[in-house]
Amino acid sequence: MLFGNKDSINKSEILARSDMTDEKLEKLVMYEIIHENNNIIGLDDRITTFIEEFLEIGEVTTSFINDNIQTLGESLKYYRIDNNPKFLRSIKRSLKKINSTTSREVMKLHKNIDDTYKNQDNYVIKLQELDKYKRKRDDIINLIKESEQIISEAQGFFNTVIDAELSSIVLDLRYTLVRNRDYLNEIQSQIIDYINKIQYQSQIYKKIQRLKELKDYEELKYKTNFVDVVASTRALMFNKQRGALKGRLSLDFLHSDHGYMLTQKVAQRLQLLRNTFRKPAGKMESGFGDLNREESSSLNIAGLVDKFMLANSDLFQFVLKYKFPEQVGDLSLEKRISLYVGICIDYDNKLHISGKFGKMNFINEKKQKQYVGYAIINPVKVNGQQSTDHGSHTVVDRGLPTEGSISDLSTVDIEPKKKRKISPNKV
Amino acid sequence: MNVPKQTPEIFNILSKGNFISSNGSKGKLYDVITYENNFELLKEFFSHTGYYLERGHNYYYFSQQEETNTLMEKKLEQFAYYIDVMDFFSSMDTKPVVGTRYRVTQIAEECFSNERLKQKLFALSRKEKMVDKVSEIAGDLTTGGFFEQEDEDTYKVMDAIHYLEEVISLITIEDDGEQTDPQ
Repeated sequence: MLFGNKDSINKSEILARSDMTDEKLEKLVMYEIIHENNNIIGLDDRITTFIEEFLEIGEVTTSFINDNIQTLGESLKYYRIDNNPKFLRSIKRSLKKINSTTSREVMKLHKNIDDTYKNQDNYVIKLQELDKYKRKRDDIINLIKESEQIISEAQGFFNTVIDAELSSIVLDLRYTLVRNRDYLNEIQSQIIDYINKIQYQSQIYKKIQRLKELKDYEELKYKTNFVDVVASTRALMFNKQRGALKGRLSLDFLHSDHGYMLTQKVAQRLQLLRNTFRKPAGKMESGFGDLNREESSSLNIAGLVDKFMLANSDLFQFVLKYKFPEQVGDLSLEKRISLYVGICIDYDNKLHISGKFGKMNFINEKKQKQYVGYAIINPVKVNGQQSTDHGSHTVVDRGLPTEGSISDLSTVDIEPKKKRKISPNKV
Repeated sequence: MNVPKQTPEIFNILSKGNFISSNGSKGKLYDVITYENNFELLKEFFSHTGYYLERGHNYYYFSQQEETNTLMEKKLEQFAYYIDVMDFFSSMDTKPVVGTRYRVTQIAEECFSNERLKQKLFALSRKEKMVDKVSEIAGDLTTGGFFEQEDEDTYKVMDAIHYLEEVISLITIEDDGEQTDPQ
C-alpha cells in the first residue's frame, strides 16, 4: 500500500502522504520493516522475501527443494539408527515441505517464463533469461527425480512404520511430484517454443542482413532464388499503385432527389449553370388533350354500334345525330360520314343493307351547299325487314335498285362515300 | 450466402493491396473475418472477384493469380527495397517484431550514434534531415501495411510483418562456393 507497484520509493514522496509522519517512518525503520538508503526507502529484504514467497512470485530457486531433500535424507538416516519419534516428525515435515516447495517453484517458473517472453524488450536478454529458466527447469526436474528416488528407496521403510499420517503424506507427495513433472514437461516445450521463435526471428534478421549484403554486391539474382520467390508471392500488396476500382454512377441514383442535389452541386462548382436558367415548362394548354378525341371516338365504336342496334333508325341518320359524350366534343359532318363508312365495313354482319338510298343536303365548312346520297342501313332485325322510318330532314328517294347480295356488299358500302359529291343545285 | 455487413469495408481495404492485421486499427475487421466460419465464407465470396482471401499469422490479405511482366518487375523492385528497409530496422537495437513501437526521433537518435545505421539510412533516403529520412522509411512501411502510425512520432509494427518474414525465409541463399543456378 505504501509503495504502490514499485520496489522502492523516494522519502519525500512517502512523507508527502497525509497518513505518514516523520515519527511513523522512524518507527518503521526501527522495527526493521523498512530501510532507508540515500533517501530511497524500500521494504526490508526479509519482508520482501516473505511476501514473494507467500504470493508465489519472485525468482525461481531450487535451493529450498534441495535443502528439504537433504534434511529428509538425514532424518531418514537418523531414524534408522535411532527409532526416535522426533526424527519421524522431521521426516514428515520434510516430505510436506518438498511437496509444497516443488509446486511453488514450478508455478513461479511458469509465470516468469511467460513474463520474460512477453515483457522483456531486449531480445538478447530475453534469450538469455529464457535459457536460464530452461536450466532451472532441468534442475527442478532432477530434484523431483531425486525426491522420487529417495521415496521409493525408503518405501520399504515407510511400510514398516505404522503411521497413517506418514503414508498419506507420502502418497500425496508422490502424486504431486508426478503432476509437477508433467507440468514441467509442458513448460519445457513452451520454453523451447519461445526460444525457437526468438531464434527464428533473429535468424530472419541475420538473413535479411545477408541478403542486403548480397544485394549490395549485385549478387541477389545469382546467389539466391529471390526472383522465383518474389514471383510466386501472389499478395496484392505489390499491386497497390493500380488504384481503387472505379464504378459508374447509377442512373437510377441520378434520377433520385439526392442524385439531383449532387448534380446541382457539381454543376454549380463547374459553373455549368451560369447562363442556363431553365425553368420547368409552364402549364399545358387547356386544349392539349383534344388530340385524343378521334381516338376515343373510334374506341367507342363498339358501344356506338350496340346503341344503334337498339335504336330504331338508319345508320346514317343515327351517326349524324348521335350526341357524343362531352370529352369527345362535336364531330364534324365529314368525320361522322367516315365513322358511318367505318361502321359499315367493320360491323356488316350486324347490319341490314336495305338497298335503298337516302339523300341529304348540307352546308359544308366553306358555306357551300352539298348534296349527299347514302345507303340506308338498318340494324339486323329478327325478320330482316327494313325500317321505313327516316329522319325528317332526309329526302327519301328510291335509289338505284340494287340486289343486296353479300358479294355486292362491299361495293354498296363504299358507294355512299363516292356518291357524295358537291352539287350546286338546290333541293 | 450471408456475408458480414463489413464485407464492403473489408474488400475496400484488401483490394487496395493492404493487410488487415489483428493488432492494427482495423483489428475489428480482423475479428469479423476470424469470427466463426466467416473466413471460409468470405474466401468463397471473394473468389468470384478474382481475388483470393489468404490467412497469415494474425493477418489477412488478398492474392491474385494472373500477373503481367510489368507487375513482376515492380514486385522485384519493391521487394528489393523492403530488404533494404528490413535490413535497416533489424540492425537496430529494437528489432521489428510484432507490437514493437518505434519513435521516429528515437530511431534518428540511434542513427546518430551508430555509424553503420547512419550509412544505411543515408542510402535509403535522400531527405535532408535525419528525422525526415526516418519518417519517409517508416511511411513506406506504413503504406505497405507493415507499420501503422499511431501518432505523429510513433509507429507500431503490425502482424503483417510476418508476411515479409515469411517471404524472406523462403529465399534460399546459395553457398558461396560451387553453385547451381536456381533458375
